[in-house]
Amino acid sequence: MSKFSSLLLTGLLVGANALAADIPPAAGSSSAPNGDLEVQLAAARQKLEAAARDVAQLSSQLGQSAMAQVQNLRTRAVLGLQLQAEPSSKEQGASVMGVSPGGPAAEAGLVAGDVIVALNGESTTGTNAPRLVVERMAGVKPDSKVTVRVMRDGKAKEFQVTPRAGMAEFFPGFGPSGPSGFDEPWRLPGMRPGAPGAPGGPAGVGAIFEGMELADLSAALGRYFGTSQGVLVIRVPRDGEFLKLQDGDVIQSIDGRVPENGSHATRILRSYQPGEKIRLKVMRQKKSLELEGTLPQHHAGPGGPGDHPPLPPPAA
Amino acid sequence: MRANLDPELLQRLRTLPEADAPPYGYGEFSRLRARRRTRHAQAPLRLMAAALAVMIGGWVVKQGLVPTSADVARDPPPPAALSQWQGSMAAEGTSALTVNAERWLSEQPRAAIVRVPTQMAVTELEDQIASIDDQLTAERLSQPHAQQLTLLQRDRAQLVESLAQVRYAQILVAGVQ
Repeated sequence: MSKFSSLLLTGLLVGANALAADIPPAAGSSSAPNGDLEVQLAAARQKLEAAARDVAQLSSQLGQSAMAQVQNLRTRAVLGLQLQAEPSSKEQGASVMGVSPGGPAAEAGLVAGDVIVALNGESTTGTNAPRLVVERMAGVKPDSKVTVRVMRDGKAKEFQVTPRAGMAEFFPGFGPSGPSGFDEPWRLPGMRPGAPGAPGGPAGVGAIFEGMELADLSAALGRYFGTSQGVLVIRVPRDGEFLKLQDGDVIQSIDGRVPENGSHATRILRSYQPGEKIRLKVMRQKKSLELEGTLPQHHAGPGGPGDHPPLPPPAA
Repeated sequence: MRANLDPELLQRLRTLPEADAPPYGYGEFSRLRARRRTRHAQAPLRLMAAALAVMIGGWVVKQGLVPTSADVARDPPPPAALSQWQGSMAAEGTSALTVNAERWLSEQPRAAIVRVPTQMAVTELEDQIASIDDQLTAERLSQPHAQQLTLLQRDRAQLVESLAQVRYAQILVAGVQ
């Protein structure tokens, strides 16, 4: 285990210890009012999640530092898989060595061992199969649908993969000849702009949506709410007046993008920055309406600045 | 989840598909609900026990008692492709801990109910790992620079371990909800 990972683990431990320390011993706990315990429990949950988010934040900065040192960022639309560079002669396509956890390929159902034989109907077979896949992906835009045809256990299968925006999409200064004309500090969408090494305001979008909970819309829920698509708002953001959402709303689209599930909706929301306008189409009490708001520039609530100690500078 | 929801809505929320409703199903939810009073009374103790478990886990990791290659080898043999993938990662310096973390992550179903700020952290890590994976393919196909490959693999491993930690925290939090 690396020193940095130990640090991350320590961070979680500190969070967990703080969590335990902040909760007074339950003297005669069985007689303690449930209301108090619920408040303590809610606070403990918040701290545990905050510690986890700090782990993610620090890791993200480290990952971006690493990518900054890569000379040729080619990936604009990301599939989230690693291909075997040297296909064996018997393989008729590009062999998938592994899929990224939570990546587009994994989400679509691709697994290690699949052999990609076509992308959007164009063959990717032959001795240059992996290269063909990379070249074909160069012309694909993020969030478009890509039909991936694979051979699995001798049978052909097709998957609809929705590639996500990769590093090169956000850092156009990186090109085949390496970083050039790239003076601005850089970051991924969703990275806390106030963090060291990241530009922008003092708070990220995560803090803005503090307290918000979303649920997938199953068929049964869809019938109840009178819509077959979108995500259900179980809880609005704690300081979410800017969105004008209400508990029980179904978000049908966010600036035209239709969220397929809660996780997808989160990804869409993460692409916004403080100060940006956002338009939502929602279903409220079986009536469709449009909401418009602007993400606040500053946010000092839980999960925002001041809630955690300053982050250390990113690794060199 | 709010307790004052419309009973019909509550019922429909409870019947969200089992496979998409981690970390526990409706049966487990009902059992936990029946024990709600007891759980609330014991909540601080449970949280302290969870913290203790995490600390012990940390100590075990720091003492180098994480699963070794030999331990991994005693596990049921994975499919050939997965084995090849793990072998490739090991050859490039990926630790058994990362391999196990990746395997654990692949077994976790997608959550049907998400808390947005934490899920944002999860998706950020997932997207970076996906970017690095595609970049690794591109690197191997061009003129591979061993140093860059190693750098990317190292940081990928750290991101995967962090993702596992954050997902685990998500599950813990959902479990005490």
